[in-house]
Amino acid sequence: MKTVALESLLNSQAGVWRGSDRYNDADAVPTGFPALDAALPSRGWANGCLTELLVGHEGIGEFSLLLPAIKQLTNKAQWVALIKPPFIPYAPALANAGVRLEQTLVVNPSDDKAALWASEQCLRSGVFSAVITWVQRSTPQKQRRLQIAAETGNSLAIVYRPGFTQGEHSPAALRITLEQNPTQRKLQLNIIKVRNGKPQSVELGLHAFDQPQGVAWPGMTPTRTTADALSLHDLALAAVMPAQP
Amino acid sequence: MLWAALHFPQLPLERLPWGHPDYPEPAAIIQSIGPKRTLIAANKAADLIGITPGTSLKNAYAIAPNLQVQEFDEAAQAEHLQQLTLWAMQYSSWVSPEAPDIILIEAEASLKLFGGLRELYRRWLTDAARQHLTLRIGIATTPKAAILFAKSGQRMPATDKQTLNTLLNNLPIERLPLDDFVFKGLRQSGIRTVKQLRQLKPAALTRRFNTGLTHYLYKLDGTLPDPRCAFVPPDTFSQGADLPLEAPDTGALTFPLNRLLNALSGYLTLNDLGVRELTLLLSHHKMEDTSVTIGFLDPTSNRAHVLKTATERLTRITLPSPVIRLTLNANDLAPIERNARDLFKKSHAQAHSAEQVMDNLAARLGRDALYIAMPDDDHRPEKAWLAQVLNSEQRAFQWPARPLWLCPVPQLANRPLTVISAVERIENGWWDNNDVRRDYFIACDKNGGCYWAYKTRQNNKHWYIHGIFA
Repeated sequence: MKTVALESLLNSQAGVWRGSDRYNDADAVPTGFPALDAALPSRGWANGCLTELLVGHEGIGEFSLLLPAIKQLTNKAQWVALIKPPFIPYAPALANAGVRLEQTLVVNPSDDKAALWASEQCLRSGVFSAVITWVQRSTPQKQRRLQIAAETGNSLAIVYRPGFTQGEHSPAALRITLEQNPTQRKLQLNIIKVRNGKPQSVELGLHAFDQPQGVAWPGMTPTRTTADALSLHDLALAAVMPAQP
Repeated sequence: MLWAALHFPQLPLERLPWGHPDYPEPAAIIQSIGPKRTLIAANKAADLIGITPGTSLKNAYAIAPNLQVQEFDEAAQAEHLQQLTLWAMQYSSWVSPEAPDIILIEAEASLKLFGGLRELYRRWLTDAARQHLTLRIGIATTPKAAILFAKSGQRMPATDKQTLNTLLNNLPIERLPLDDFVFKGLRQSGIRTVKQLRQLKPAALTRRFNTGLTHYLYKLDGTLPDPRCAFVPPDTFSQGADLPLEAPDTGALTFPLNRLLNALSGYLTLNDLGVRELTLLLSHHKMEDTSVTIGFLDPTSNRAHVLKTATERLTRITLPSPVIRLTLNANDLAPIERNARDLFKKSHAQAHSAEQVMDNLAARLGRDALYIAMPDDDHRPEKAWLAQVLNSEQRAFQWPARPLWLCPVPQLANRPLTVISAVERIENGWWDNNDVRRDYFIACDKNGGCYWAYKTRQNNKHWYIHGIFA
C-alpha cells in the first residue's frame, strides 16, 4: 500500500524527474518471444545498449533466440553482422528461418582482440542494425567500449560470452544467462541485470523456436541413446518411425 | 581574371618532422652558394633564439651548437611542389606551379562553386594546416602582383584594378624581386616606394635599367599580359616522397602518406575519379621494395577513408628494414558516382558507408575474414552452403530441420547422445570423389545440448557431430 501511495505521489508531481523514465522510450527490436518482451523494460532488444548473453552449454537454442530479430532486421534491408561465430553459421538453417543472407555479414577475426575491434567498428559506424559478437575473454573496459560504440551508432549490440563469466563485473545494460532444464526441455533465461527493470527468470518452451526456425524444432522425446550399439535393423526401424512432435 | 598565389615559405623545412611548430630542438635548412653556406629556412625553436633565414651557418652554430641542419634538396622540393599542385587542382582547372615554392591558381572561375573568396581562403588555410604547412596567400588580378602580395604578407585581396594600384603604390621598393644593382640605382635616385617608381617615365627607366624592370612593372599592374601555362596532370597517378629520416616502423609513414593522399584526393576530384586499388611501395636501402596493395569495394575519393584503411593495413606489416622512400601508385581508377543530393532517399548514402566499414574491416582482418554465407543446391551438408563475396543474391531453397551451426570438420562424438529424431539419409556425391553416405539424426547430450550427428554407412561404430542446434 505504501509503495502505491508513493508511486501516485511521485507521478502527480510534474517537477519530479525519475531515472526510470529514461530508457523506456528507447526504441527496441521485438525479440519475437512475447514472454521475453514482457520481462524486458524496453519490450525487446534495446537499440544503443549492450546486451550480454551468457551461455553455459552449447546447443540449447542460444542463437535461435535471436533469429526473429535477425529475420526482422534483414528483411527491412538492414545489415546484421555476426562476428567470430564459434562455428560456421549454416546457410540452409538461416534460410529456413527466413533470414535474408545477403544482408548478413560474417566476420571471422583471428582472436578476441580483433573481434572486439571489428565489433566496435561495426557498431560505431551505425551501418549495422545489429552486431552479434562471440568472445571468450573480455574485460569491463572493453565491454564499456562496446557499450559506448553501441550508443554512438544506436544499434543493437549483443555479445555472447561463456557462462562462467557471470560473476564478472560488466557495464552491459542487459545480462541474461541461458541454461536448459534437460528434464523439462525448456530454455531458461535468467535476467541477472537489467537497466531500469527487475531481475527475473523467463522460461521458453523449445516449441517456441518452431516458428522462428521455419521448421519443427527437433523432437522432444528421447528414443534411444547412441551408446547402445545400433544394428542395421535399428537404423531401418528409426527410418520408418515418425519424428516425435 | 583573379589570381591567387599560394606561397609556402617554409616548404623545405616542412617536408621534415622538424618543421612541426612543437618540435623542441632548433633545426634549419641550408643552401650552399659557393663556399658560403646560408640558412634558407629555420624552425620555430630556432627562430625563438634568433636564428632566422639568411643567417650564415657559422653564426647559427655560434648561437646554437646543437642546431640540426640539412642541405636543401631541390629535387625533393620540386616533387613536393608537384604534389601540392595536384592537391590544388581540386580548386581550379587552371593551376600553375612557380618553382620553388609558389602555386598560382586562377580563382575567378571557382568563386561561385566554392561560395566566394572567403570560403576558398578558409579551405586553403584548413587544408594547409592539416598538412602542417605554413601558407601565405596573395590575391590580385595579375599573377605577378599576387606573388608579390603573398611574399610581402599583403593579405587584402586586390579584386579590381583600382585596389590593385592603391595596394601596389603603398609597397616599399624593397619588396620587389629586383637585383642589387637596380636597388642601388633606385635608392641613389631617392626612390623609396613603388608609387614613386611608377611615376617615373618608362622610357627613362628602360634606358637606365634595361627592359626587365619596365616589363615587370607593366606585368604587375596588368598593362602587359603575363600568360601562364596551366599545369597538365599526368594520365596516371604515381607520386613518391623521400623520407628525410629512415622510418624504422610503419607508424612513421603516416606523415608522408598523408601528403601523398592529399595529392591523390586533388587528382581524383579533378578527374571525377575514385580509386579502386592502390599500391604503396616502401623502398628500402639495398633491398627489394615492400609492396602493399589495398583494394576498395567501391571506387572512393574520400581522403579520410583511404587514409584510415591504408594506416590500418600498414600497422599489420613488419618491415624487413627501414624505409627510405614511399611511393603511391593508383592502379585502378574508376569514375565515381557522385552522391546525388536526394532529399528523400536515405538508403543510398547508407549503402555507401556499409562498404566503407567493410573495406576498413578487410584492411585489418584480411579480405577472407569477411563473407556472406549463402545456401547452395547440394544435398551434402558441407556443400550446401558457400562463403560468397558480398553483393550476391540469395536463391530460394527449403531444407528439413538443419542446425544453425555447422562444424568445419565433423567431430567424433566423445559422450553418449540420445537420438530424438528419425533418420535422414543423405547419399550423394559419388561422382566427384566426395562420396557421402550418411545417416543423420538429431541427438541430445545429458545437459540438453542438441546436435546434428551422423554415422557413416560404411562404418556405423562411430558417431560424428556435424552441427549444433544453437
